[in-house]
Amino acid sequence: MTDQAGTGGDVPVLSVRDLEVVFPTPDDDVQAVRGVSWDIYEGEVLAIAGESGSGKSVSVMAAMGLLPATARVSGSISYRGRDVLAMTDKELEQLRGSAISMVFQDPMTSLNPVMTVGAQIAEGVRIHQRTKTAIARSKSVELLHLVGIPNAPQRVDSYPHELSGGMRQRAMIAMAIANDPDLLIADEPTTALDVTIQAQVLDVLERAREAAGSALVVITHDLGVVARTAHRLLVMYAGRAAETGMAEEVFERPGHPYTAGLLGAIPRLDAPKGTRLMPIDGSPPSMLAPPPGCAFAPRCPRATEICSQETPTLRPIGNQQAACHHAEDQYNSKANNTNNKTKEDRDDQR
Amino acid sequence: MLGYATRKLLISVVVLFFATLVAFLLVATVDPIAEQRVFLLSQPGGAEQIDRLEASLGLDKPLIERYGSWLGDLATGDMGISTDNGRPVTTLLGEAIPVTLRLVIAATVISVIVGVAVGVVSAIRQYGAFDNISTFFAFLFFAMPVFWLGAVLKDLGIRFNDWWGRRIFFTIGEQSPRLDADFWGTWADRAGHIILPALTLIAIQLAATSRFQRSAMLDVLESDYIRTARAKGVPQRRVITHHALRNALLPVVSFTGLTFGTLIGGTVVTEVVFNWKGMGRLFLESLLNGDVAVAQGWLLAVGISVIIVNLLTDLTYGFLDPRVRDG
Repeated sequence: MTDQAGTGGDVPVLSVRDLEVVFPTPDDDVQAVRGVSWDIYEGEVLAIAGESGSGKSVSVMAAMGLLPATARVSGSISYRGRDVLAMTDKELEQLRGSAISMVFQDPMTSLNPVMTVGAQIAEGVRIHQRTKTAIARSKSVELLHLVGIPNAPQRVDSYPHELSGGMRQRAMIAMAIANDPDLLIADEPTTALDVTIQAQVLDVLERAREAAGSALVVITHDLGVVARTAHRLLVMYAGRAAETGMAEEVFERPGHPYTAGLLGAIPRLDAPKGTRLMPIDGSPPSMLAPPPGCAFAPRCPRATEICSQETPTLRPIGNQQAACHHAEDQYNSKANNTNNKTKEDRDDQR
Repeated sequence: MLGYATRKLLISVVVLFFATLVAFLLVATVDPIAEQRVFLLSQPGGAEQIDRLEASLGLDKPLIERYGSWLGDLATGDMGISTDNGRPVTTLLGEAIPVTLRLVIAATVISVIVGVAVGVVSAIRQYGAFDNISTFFAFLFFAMPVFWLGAVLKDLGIRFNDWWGRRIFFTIGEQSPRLDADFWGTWADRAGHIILPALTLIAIQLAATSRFQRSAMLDVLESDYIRTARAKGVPQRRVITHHALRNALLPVVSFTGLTFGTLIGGTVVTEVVFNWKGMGRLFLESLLNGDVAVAQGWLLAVGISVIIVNLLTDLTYGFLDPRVRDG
């Protein structure tokens, strides 16, 4: 993955190497992230996908310096060559909201209930650009307009509880792009929203990204979201990378049984009538004591003896990389070929 | 906000009406001439005398009419005469209320300011040395009986006076009897009197307030919008003052409003220990003497105070939390 060329430049905006995050608990340590590496380049959209507890959120929180003080972080995270993990609180404050900013999952709880949305957007502008209150306010109106909130000059004085979930998430996006960040991180940006609103918010996110000229990391458990937006895809399982590659190629021919499982679990309109969704049986392992070998082995239809003994590492398969002992079998399997056939239909859907 | 305030004000007026009704009924259901009745009935011609007595007291009229004329008297500032010492109830209340208010306001203002500060610092440095020490003292004072704490403080005050060789702390009364001093002299004298009883109240209230503030602050600091503020690059100090504190003040505002309301009528123990002639004492004496008019007046005065304090609490709450305004 280190040599992987991005779509927008040679120096990554953010580079994560061998990241490990451990949360000490009274019982035992929770190993939330167990050695993950990824890069994001200018203008690129990277999707990080996986189930709850796969470590996807934790790895970006680490990049923002937002983990609780008790978390033990090792490996390296560098923003344009600067070591984020070594930054002082002051340096982190300057980085956050200005160079890297974030849209959170639940817009109902992520906005301060006692401040107007305008004040919350303007606050970030004032802190990082040192502008006057009046200028910051007109910038807030501009931003609200950009994310498609009607009557922005009035809405700027609304409190969060006066807005719908979709509107709040738009306000969150406006807040995140207020200082034209290099990198925008969206942590499950549509999970808490009504299905009917999800597509709108994804469009707004894309528009906002273009307006701000940022790279975007989308964290999601919904591969449908990935299909719409991402250039590259990183699939995480149990704190490790399972598979990574160009989103379209991974979609067509997953090299990891877990990715294939996730794809099989997406409801599709173009599936033949009577086709049943294929759930992945079982649940992710406890991160208190992850099993030896491949963490997915207990749930994997392709698992053999080696899987529970040796931990697979990412290795090339086609243009992508997968951490699976049976990547070739998966990559060349018949199921993937049937996936191929419907590729055009999927493109139509997009 | 204006609509919210008007709504709360209207509700207060309705509650006030019910308060007068309750104060009236509580006393009206008691027969003021019960003892005479027993005696007179055993006398020849006693029945006529009872009738005359009832007529002079207005007891022969229907309850609703008596309530009406009582309300009318109330409106003109007539709350009746103390049966114990013959002084008007309004005068007695007028003397007792400022004394209690002085004590309660001083204690509440100090314990809220200090309690909020202690709670916030404890929450920010949870399980740090300051937090552990303040937690220890909060539980200690919270568990202390008021009369005992008051007595201990009196004793300490007297010892301090002896050691200093001058009287700094006064342990009896709300001010020196037959005090003849100018404006500043009067307040200096009152300050010397108020310290110990105020400390008694503060110790207990401060304990509760700081615990409330601490837990409210811990809750808020865990919330998503604090993470959002930090993700925006808001400096830590500003996150605390602008984002966390305003939200974490809400439970403390409710709590303070509630305790303030009860304290106005309920500092009985402190007032008795320090021999203050305030509302608590007045109520206690009216009960011991069977002084119905005073008890009724006291009930009404405390009821009105609680209503006013609740109104102020609601308005503060509405000012701090926009969700309440619209609700």
